[in-house]
Amino acid sequence: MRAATELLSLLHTAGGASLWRGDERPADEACGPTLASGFAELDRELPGGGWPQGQLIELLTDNAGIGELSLLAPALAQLAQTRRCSVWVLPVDASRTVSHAPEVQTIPYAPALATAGLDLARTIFVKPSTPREGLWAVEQSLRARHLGAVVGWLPSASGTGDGDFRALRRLHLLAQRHRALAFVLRPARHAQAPSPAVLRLLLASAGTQLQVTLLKRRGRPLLEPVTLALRPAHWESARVDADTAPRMLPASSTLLDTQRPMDALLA
Amino acid sequence: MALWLAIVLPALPLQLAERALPGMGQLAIVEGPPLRLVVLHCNAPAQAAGVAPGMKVAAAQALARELIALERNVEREQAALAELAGWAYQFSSHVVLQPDGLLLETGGSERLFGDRARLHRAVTTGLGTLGYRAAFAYAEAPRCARVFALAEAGQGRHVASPGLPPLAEADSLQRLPIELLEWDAVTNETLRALGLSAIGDLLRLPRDAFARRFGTGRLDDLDRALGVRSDPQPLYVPPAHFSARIELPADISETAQLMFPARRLLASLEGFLRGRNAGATELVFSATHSARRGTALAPTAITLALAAPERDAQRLAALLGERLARVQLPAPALTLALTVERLHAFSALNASLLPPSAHDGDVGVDWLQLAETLHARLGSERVFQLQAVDDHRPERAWCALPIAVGDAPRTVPPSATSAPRPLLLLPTPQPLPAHGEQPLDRGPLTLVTGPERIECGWWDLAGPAAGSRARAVHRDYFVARNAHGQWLWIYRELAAPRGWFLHGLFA
Repeated sequence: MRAATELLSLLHTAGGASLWRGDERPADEACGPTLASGFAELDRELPGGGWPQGQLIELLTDNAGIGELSLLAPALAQLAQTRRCSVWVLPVDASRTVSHAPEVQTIPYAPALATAGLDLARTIFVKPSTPREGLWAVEQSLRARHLGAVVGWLPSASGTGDGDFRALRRLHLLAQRHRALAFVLRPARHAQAPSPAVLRLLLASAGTQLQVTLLKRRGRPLLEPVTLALRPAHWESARVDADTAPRMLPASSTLLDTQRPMDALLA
Repeated sequence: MALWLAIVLPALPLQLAERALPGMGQLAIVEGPPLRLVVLHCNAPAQAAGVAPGMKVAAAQALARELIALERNVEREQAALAELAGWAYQFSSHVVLQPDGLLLETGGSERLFGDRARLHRAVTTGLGTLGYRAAFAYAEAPRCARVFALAEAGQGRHVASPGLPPLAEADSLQRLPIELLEWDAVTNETLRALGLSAIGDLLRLPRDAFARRFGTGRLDDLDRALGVRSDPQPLYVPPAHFSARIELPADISETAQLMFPARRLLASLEGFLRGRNAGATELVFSATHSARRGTALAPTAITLALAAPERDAQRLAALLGERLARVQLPAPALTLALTVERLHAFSALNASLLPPSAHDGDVGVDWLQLAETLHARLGSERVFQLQAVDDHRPERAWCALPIAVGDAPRTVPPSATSAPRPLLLLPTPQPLPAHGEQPLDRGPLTLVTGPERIECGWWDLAGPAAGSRARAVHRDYFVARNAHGQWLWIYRELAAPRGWFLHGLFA
């Protein structure tokens, strides 16, 4: 133990500022380029102060609709300012893991994306028919130069943990060739499996807020999850009752029932 | 100075068959009346088995068991030459079709390519990519160049002649045999019988006597070969669209095998587009099949759609490779054709629209290529762009569009509302169970905000678009949260039975 302490002090004198200790936060310049996430609480904990560019970022979540895309939206909107293109590889079956309805088909909603500041004219959406096809599309996208971001839902490309690791490792290596933001969204059950991604986030909801657990990051691990308020402030406390909603029916209910206004009026 | 390059393709029918597929076995081109077919050309493996031109087909097949005998098709040869002329148009605007080759006036375009040697290299390597072997000769007079190219082809110097052939002098015509003038056999025989075997012998004859004996046409022809008489040539006019075809000497049942002939077609297309300074955005490959059990099969069409005009054969071949992964041939293919109906102005935009930044490596494809690769492999239903549409009905406020890179930026209509909209939408709303007035989704839902009443679309009901999709909307929308922390966008129908539906996720 004494020897270790001595070695450390020796290294400190020899290496000076270029020495980095594993229990320290790495210097921001050592993290490579990053892009601010738009959430100060999260940026404070992300090495380099934002999403690492040219690195694979893994987001693990089981429930769609807890704010997983809202988390990415500010960064994607920043990329839109630089006129960079993006590719979204959508889920194969978009399962929302609802017990009574296992498959809910969803599609990114253009008006909301435009409101969030994304550049739809420079975004390509891919709807793969198999997980393998989705993996292929993410891989192809990461090969492209000048790409801003790739957002890919990858349920499980191979079915085995080992195969998944290899696939992710390939993606990670491809991501390092360029400066794109490479987000892959995977089910939370992969949280325990090894992953080559440098940043792994487990997303869960905490009350009305989004709880982000940094499973893996450069440097000292973060034990406490970060809690982010993604929703408008007035949503936090607001509560309406279905009964209080006005029950007013449209001007002519016959019109509604027949769905044929001209016939209804003429009759 | 006018300078003519004569290109002669010896044994053209055989070359056409050999360029279609790699590693063909014994192959012979036969010609003649039915039941008396005679071998016209045969390839090296057939020759090794003892087959020789002039042999009867039956005899040849007895010598070479594996021999594929293909009947000569003159129309097909003419079409191939016309296609080649379209390809050669990139080197010169003066292209002349010949019975088994081309004439190009290259004096005017040497400077464009640097010098004559570079131009020649471009022509020879290009022909090699197309799968042709050719003999070449340069001369100031087109007729002279043609005679010398035929002489080269006759001496078998068409296999490998990468060097630039020297400019042929009209004087050296003298020692060439008279057959190279391509006069009819009777005339050649008469001349031979008179002891006139070289062109020089003809030139030494008195001109008026020669004209009386053999006609002024022959005399004029000699003068043209010497370059002392003007020799206007009927110039080739390139067609408005590209169309090329390769007949496959052997049946092909695997789509991957189509890549080889397809590369030939794409190389031809690239030359054609270069000559027209154009690019293509839609390529249609079509493979024809033999009739199965008496019923004709429709040809298989393979369409390659591109985001921006393109002509690079290698890039197109890479895209086609991805596209072919989705194609199944219903029966073996007999021919493969490529047509491009519309040509587009091509700007040499093979780099990105963005200046390369210092952080990006030079490795990797351009994103435009990426779009095309994805599209080629997955098709337009699976690769698309999204656009917001100005409509109050949430399910009609968006649309999916085919990729259109390079168009003017799309105008996004001003958002009609400041009300919350989810990032993920369910294209078909999903009914939610309810307990009394309380909607349920894995437990009771907490309604966070709302209602936002959306009630419109009645105008579509009477219009011509009235159909399954055109529906009036009478709904109260709420933002809701379930026990799992999911933020949902739900609505309640205003009409009876006032059911609840899930329409989106605030992802």
